[in-house]
Amino acid sequence: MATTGIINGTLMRLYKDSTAIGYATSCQMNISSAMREILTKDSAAGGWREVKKGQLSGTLSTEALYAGPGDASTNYLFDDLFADLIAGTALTIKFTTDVVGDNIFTMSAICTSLDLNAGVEENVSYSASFEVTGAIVKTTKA
Amino acid sequence: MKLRLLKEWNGKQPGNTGVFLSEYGEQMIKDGIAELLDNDFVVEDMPKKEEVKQDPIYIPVFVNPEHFQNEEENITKPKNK
Repeated sequence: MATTGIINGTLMRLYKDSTAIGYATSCQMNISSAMREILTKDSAAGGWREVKKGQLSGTLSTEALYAGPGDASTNYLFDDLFADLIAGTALTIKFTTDVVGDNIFTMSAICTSLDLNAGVEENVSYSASFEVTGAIVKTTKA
Repeated sequence: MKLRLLKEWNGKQPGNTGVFLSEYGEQMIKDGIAELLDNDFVVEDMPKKEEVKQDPIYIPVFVNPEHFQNEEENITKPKNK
């Protein structure tokens, strides 16, 4: 049964194929539509900007705590993303709660940046950014 | 769902645990690659920062002896009713 009411953000996370991106503290998906200007001398808009829809694009980002090769986890971690960024691999990413009836956003994305942060007496953490290539498809988990 | 690997998978060692999408996880269980730990599990335990409790610091402050004399007077003097 689909989640009722406002969804708890903790439950909605990014999965590479079907493996969770590990130790994530936040995940974001951005979808935007570029605008193309269509104002001409013939327009009746009185000098006001006129636009129509242009390219659609998407980005993903996540912030997570860092665990190195010693971590006994099967989750997708910084080291995996590091290899993907170097290779320019297009990853199949799903953004979902994994609850039946809830949405699954599926897309192909390339990791474009990794920022690793190590503050004194703080958890080592990182942020990763992805550029979506192709369409973002919204389906419902059956 | 949270699973524990029974066999090596994608270079990860048996015994390692992780969170998988349920459909895929169920297939891994069927294939004998992993065992189920928690069906509804979504978020793994994150490494927690150890909280350090600091002992109270006592800083000596100089107080004029007259202050205590006044205090004594205040205690011993009967209060005016």
